[in-house]
Amino acid sequence: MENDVLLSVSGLRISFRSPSGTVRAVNGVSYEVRRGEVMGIVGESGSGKSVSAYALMGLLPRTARIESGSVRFEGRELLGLPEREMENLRGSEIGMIFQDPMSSLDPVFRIGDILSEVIRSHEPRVKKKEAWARGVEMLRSMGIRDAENAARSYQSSLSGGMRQRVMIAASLLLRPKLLIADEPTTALDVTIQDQIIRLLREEKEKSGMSILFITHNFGIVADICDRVTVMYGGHVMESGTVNDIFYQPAHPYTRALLRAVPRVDSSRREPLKTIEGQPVDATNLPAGCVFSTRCVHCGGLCRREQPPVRTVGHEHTASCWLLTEGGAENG
Amino acid sequence: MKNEKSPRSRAVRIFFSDPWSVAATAVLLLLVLACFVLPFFLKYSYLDTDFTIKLQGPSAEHPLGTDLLGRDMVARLAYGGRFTLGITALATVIAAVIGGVLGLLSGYWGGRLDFYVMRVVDALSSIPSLFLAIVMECALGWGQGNFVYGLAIAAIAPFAKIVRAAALDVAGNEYIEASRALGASGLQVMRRHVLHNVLPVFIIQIVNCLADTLIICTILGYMQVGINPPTPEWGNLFHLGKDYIRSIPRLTFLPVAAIVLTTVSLNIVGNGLRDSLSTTGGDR
Amino acid sequence: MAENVIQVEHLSKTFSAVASDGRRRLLRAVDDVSFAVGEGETLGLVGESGCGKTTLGRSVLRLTEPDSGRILFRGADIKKLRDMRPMRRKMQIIFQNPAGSLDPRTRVGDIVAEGLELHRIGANRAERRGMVRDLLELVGLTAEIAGRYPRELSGGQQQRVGIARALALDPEFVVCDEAVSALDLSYQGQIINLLEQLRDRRGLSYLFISHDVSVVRHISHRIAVMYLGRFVETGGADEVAQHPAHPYTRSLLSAVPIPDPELAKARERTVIPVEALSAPAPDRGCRFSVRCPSCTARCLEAAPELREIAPEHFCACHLYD
Repeated sequence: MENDVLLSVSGLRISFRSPSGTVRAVNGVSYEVRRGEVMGIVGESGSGKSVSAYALMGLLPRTARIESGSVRFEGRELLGLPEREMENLRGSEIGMIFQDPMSSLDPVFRIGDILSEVIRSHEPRVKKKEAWARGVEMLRSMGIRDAENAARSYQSSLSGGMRQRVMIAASLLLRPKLLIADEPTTALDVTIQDQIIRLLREEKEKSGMSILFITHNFGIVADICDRVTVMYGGHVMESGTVNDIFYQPAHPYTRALLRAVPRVDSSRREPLKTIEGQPVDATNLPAGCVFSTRCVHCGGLCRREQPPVRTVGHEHTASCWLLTEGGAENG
Repeated sequence: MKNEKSPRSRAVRIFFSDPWSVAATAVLLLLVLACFVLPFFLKYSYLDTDFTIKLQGPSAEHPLGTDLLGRDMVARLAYGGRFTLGITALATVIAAVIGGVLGLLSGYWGGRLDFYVMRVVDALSSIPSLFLAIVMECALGWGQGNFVYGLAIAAIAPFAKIVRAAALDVAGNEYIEASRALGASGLQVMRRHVLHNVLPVFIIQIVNCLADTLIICTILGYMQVGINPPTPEWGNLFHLGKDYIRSIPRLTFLPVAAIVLTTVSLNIVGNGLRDSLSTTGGDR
Repeated sequence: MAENVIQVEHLSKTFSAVASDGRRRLLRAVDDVSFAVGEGETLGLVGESGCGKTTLGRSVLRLTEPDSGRILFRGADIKKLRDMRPMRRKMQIIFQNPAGSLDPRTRVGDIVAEGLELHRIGANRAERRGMVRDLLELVGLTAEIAGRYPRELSGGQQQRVGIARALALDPEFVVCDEAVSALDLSYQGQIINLLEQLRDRRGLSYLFISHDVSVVRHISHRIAVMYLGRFVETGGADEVAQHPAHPYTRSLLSAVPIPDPELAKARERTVIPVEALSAPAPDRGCRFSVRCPSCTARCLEAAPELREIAPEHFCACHLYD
């Protein structure tokens, strides 16, 4: 089983400096991504879901500080790796796609040039023509019909969905083992989103790569993920297979979130279930469970101490006092 | 977060948390005090010549020595600063008022007015401001009053452009549309939302304009087309000193140091303001 | 739904825009659109980016001046009014971006009071302050928040402030332009519930614009689906969601992700192709024809009109001729 693990993040803590104090963005987060699986990280804004991914790509802003933890990719520690080695790793071993494909594509180069450049920067001996042809081939496999034409055009003449396809093409060119997708469809229309999700799924099947999929959308999680990690306030609340999370959610936060999703396939007229209150202030985290300020089951113990991670099923863990023996006195 | 006060007090707090900004502000305050208050307590005026003591080194009587006419250098520098700083400030105020109004109208109302105003501004800014100032000097005729106008006209174009850009930026916000949707007239929107959101940019531009105008003012003084001797001014002090640069470097060094110190401090303050005045800046 | 609060007839708005190929083109953002919203009713307007839904919302309030058509508020044509300002009390808007729609340098209390001051509601400052307090409480905020600045609030709180501002004038009709789209899931529900509550308590009418079909279905009585400036389908919310008629509506609905892994796997998709380069709308025929899986020769020739295919269910497609 150990060999199955491609990426493992453990005990990661990241903070930011800001005028209003230290922002504790990630507070002891652990998860792993296995070979060939799609791991979803779900959370609302401020949950720290993206920050942890940026950390493992070495792309944190300068105000950020990694306080502790370890990120191992194929057994190799990534934190503290020299920038040169990190650059080699990015693209060739780990690819990344972002929410906004517009700002990730240089507007003054043709799409084909951008793609060939990606190839040639990692394989300098490849001829320009060959690199271009490989780029076009990649575009075609992204479901772009007139790929030659697309390769000769510029970012500005492509639609949002097309740009995201090009981004995916660019990130898959070097056949990375891990693709980090940070809200890749949030800026897109639903019909396009659906196509991009299916494209990612097909690419994953074809190449056997793993995807770390960061999103706030439970619909997409249900669609593409094999396993899910739910984050809140920089902590992992719950982690399990997609069926565990959707059909047997153990953590009150997961349960509340799932109930809050409006669904297109239901006509219920009653008010939506909501999570009352405000999200945690990352400059001033509560002493106990981070969700305690909004949790309907919150008791005294929850406010005093952080809950331990508790195994609730095969591969299914959650971090809540209700699930432990001590939780009984808590109620 | 909880005790956060108004954007203004927040800006003040951020500004004064930067040691460079604090130091630069202190330097500017000291310079202003030295130029505008010190002369009242001096024994000598900047015009008191005494050939018996010309080109003397520092002494108890004359802490910074005397110049080639035996005038006290402390008095010369302080009065010189009064002219340099005073003229710079006056020109900046005039440019700020005219450029600010033009930029605001043109950026917020746009349309035909914007077109014509901006063509005039383009014409003004097509001439480097140093030459523009000289041309204006010639056109208006010599004299301290006209000198101020010349400097002011040279500074209008960047003011108008920057304020216009800020106003355009503000006008594109949804809160402007929200205000219109509530039934505010153009003037009411301007008064309620545009003005105070353009203000930070305006303040920063005032500081930048002070630095730019000071340099032009002293260059013109040095070139003998600004404030001319015997009236002291840092630029013309530099000019008078330059012939003795090898024998008595003090005469050149002192006015140049004053100019450099002032402009560098102004630029540091300008940067500090830019960092502290943005509503989103410095967060995360 | 007795009386129509808002009735829009043949509204059109054209922009001159630079297309992606660098050429200047006329963009028919809203093209001959008609609809009505009854008292206490919510009309949901769904469509994807660039379909003209935002322009339509602004045009109805004359924040963007429409080119042609009539806008009747309780029977009176407001497009003819020379001064819209008194009318603004009756018609309000809630914006998408909670932070961007609040002036960052104005205190929350003053933001909410702005409409009151503009229309001279309330005798003096003190009375207005009381009204602001009531409004803040109405939208679920504490009065203490009045002294704060927008950046100190969370996204959900900011959006509540935006709602309080719109309600200050006691409007009858409110355009909600992607009012919950920028919010986190836990706030989205809160705000939707608040909007529904306010509607039912105060008899408000909404034009609820969103790209999110799930949200629109939840809050709306009727739904209108917009594609490139035109309505392609309108009808009762459940009717449209359960029996979508237009090929576009069908593909839109089938693309909405469902938060249920088993259902998601079992679901069938109506796939519509995307063109490689973003193409302008065809000048002739049905605008959806280039992407439509059931496109026929006729669709390229004549633009279909909205026709009633079931009671209160309209669709603009030649499939139903």
